[in-house]
Amino acid sequence: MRVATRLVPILLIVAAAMLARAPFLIDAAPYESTMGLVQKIFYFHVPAAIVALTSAIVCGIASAMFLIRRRPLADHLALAAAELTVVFGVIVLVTGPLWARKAWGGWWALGDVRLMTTLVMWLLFVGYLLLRRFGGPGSDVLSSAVAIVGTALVPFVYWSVNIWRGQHPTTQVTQTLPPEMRWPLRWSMLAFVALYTALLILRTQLERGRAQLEEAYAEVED
Amino acid sequence: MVAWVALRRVVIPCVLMLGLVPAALASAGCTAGEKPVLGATAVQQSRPQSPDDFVAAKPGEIQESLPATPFVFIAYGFVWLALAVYVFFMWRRLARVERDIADVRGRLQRGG
Repeated sequence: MRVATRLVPILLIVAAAMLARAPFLIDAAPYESTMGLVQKIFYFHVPAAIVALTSAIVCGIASAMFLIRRRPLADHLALAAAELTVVFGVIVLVTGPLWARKAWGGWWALGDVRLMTTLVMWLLFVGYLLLRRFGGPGSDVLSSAVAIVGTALVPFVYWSVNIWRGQHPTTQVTQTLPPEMRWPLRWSMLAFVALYTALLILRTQLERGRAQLEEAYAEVED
Repeated sequence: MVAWVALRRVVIPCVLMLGLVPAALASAGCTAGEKPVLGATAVQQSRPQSPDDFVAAKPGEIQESLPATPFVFIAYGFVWLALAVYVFFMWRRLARVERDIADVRGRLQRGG
């Protein structure tokens, strides 16, 4: 954890510098031939989605570890990852409809499985946080189960777009990008990953600090 | 008994939550290979599908009826704002917890 703590300022500086440079690279990238300027939302929408899905997986693995070994660190990590899934999920769920409004002519497509599974997964992690906040004693175990279910949704969210073709582009789109579009995407992706890693460490530290505080309060009362 | 209670607290929510997956798919009315039907209006059906291969356009080639600039600005503005607000509140929460820990430790030392 100490090594991770030392990494935080470096990661934050790297992420801030990369995010500051990103708009210039995105601006220099060419317009997409059918969608035009609005396709540029893609350069933040996709990295946020990848980070949100990764965070859901981290939360699920940490929750499973907590259920098996009952180590507090796993629980703290799960809670941190769940919160970040919700934060990056909000970014995905706000930037996506903005892109869709221009590209598809509507904010949302009820029949699109990718959109619906993403929303359901996000709501599950919101439920996780509500359970942690208001669930009382034992909510850590119950919320771990919710997190595992949320993680089980990740493959559905990712591959749904390839199996049930809706209006959303398939996962193939990132692999077939022209080089001048690929570079800004990779840049944004690295910036988001650096930021996510720093925030995950900080949020885990926060939860650890809260646990220490509760222990200290219990000691004072004794 | 304790193990059963713990198991029940895990298994039942898992079963309930897993029901959400087919429910979500059913709400979209989709089976493998089919295009979504249920829940999609005629307007949605006629909406253009996003291309699977993004192709770079030549300068001046794009003619847009609905201006895209506000959408792009709102999207990027929201991302920056959301991340900035989250980082700000994270620092505040961390600072508060550290202050409280120092305070309680001080009280413990004075008391002990």
